[in-house]
Amino acid sequence: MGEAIVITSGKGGVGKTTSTANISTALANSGKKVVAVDGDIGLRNLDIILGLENRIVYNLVDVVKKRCRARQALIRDKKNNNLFLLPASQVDDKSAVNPDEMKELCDELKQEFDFVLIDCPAGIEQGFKNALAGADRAIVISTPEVSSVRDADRIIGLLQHHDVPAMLLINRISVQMVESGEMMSKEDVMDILAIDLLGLVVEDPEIVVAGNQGIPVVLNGSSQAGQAYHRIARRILGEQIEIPPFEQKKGFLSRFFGRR
Amino acid sequence: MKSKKPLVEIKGLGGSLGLKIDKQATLSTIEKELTEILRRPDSKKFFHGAKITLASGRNFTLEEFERLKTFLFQEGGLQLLEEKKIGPSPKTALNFLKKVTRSRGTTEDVTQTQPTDEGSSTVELPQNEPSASNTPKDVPPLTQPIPEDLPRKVESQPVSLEGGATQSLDLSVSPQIEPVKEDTGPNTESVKEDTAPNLENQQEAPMDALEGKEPDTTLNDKSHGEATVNPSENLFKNLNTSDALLIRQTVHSGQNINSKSSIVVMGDVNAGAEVRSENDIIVLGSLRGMVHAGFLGNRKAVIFAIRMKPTQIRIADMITQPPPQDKQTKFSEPEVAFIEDEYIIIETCQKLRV
Repeated sequence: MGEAIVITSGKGGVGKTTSTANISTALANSGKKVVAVDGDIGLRNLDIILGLENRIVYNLVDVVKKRCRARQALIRDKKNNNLFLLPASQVDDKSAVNPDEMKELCDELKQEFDFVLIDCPAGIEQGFKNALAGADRAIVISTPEVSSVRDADRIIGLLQHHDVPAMLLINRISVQMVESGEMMSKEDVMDILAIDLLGLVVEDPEIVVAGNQGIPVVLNGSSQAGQAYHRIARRILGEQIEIPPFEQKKGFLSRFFGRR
Repeated sequence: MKSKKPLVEIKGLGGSLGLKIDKQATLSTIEKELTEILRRPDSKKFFHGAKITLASGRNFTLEEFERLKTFLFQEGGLQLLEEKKIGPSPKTALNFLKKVTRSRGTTEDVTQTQPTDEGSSTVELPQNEPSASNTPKDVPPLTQPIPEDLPRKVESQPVSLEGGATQSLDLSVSPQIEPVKEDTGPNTESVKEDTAPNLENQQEAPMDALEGKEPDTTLNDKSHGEATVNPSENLFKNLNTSDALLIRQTVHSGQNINSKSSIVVMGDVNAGAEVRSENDIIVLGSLRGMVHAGFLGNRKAVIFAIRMKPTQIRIADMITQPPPQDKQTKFSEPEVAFIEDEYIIIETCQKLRV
């Protein structure tokens, strides 16, 4: 019996889909059977980030409305036999599915897979409620910005209300800006949100490239964000890995003359 | 002998003693049963000098009430206070409260009040407590009405109280308007009387986080510790106490906490959260959201926070926002907000002194 994790944030554009794609790829690379479910009905993106958009035949709404079996809708990843995608529908909208149907679907998927990662849409309405319905726990994604933290706080309150334990992932953190005081530090964010920290992902231009190409950044060895996602996946699997102190890439001379 | 249910019972009722009398009991039966109760070996120690309220379904005329009052005092040393009907309708409660504000004071005034159609009357024995220096007579009514868009029913954000029980805060259900509490200090009394004129103007029901329930007698007895510690003395007589709701977690954005009693939050109040109380609000953490103390008119309410950074502070009918901070100071002292001379003042304090 597997575990269903919903990846949510409240605010849009903070990295839910990217994180779902990368964490599921990293988990699958560790040997686990993983299915990534795109909960954003009507605005599907998870297939693009995973590079599987050309292979979609059936989607989540078809499965829920019993037009096809779950097996038929799942798309196996190009490179990794352990990773599957259940895409969303692009033509329907979030009212097409209700929470009970989602829960039933997640329970069915949990029978076969070790991890069911559900990409939650932005907001707190029907889409959020659907994505939450089948989840055992949650990863809340927030960037170190005031509006993102405010929305994440709202989401945490709602998750508490639904009895879903949550962990925090701080995304797009820029070490240079934190040091110069222009950006909230991880301590500032945790002070407000007050849940356990799962991991930090630094701001990385490789993410944009990877998203456009459909190759998750976690497969790119030289990307800092990719390495961060690897660590996060291992923490989900139970390993205790410390969050490394991030250093900005310094020039040669600044090591001697600049501040530490 | 056939045992039957007694028509008269003395119970612990919401932190004080209550006299529960069956509707059909005649006055002589009542007196007979009371004599029996009061003749029991321990009752002299237990009851003597205590105050008791009438919590019955039975209506009393003024003469009957007077007779009962004298009887209780003579037989058991009990001071009978004003009548508290079980489950008043809002209209009777309103009328009752009007009488309380009008007839406050000596026994001479009281005996002159005429019994109304409902048969309720207010009786207040002259207490030994010091006359309230902060009498409500000179407090002006609310100058700014409570905003009408204030939601009566708090939607789908039940507060998880300790122990995992969730209760939704439904303001639109059963307004339990309680008359003046007799065993708390002058402060709380004046609060209740402040609310009297406002109840006529507003349709706002006093808030109670535990919607529509009678106060849990066992919990309250323990919390005030009267009967268990020293039965013959009310230890909290003349002590300035009030009930408080303790929230043992951070209040997140989008959550509303509304309560008639004071509120203590063991945690932060995050931005976007709203906390409202008819009395004080104490935040043992960072206050970043909106708080409204002294809701319904208590200008003596205070707001305390270890880190005071609210979006907005409201006390009774006054509203203010703290000045914008130039620097993000990591270190800050605990502060308290209160009303002084028509302004809300925020002062640092190491000790909260009301």
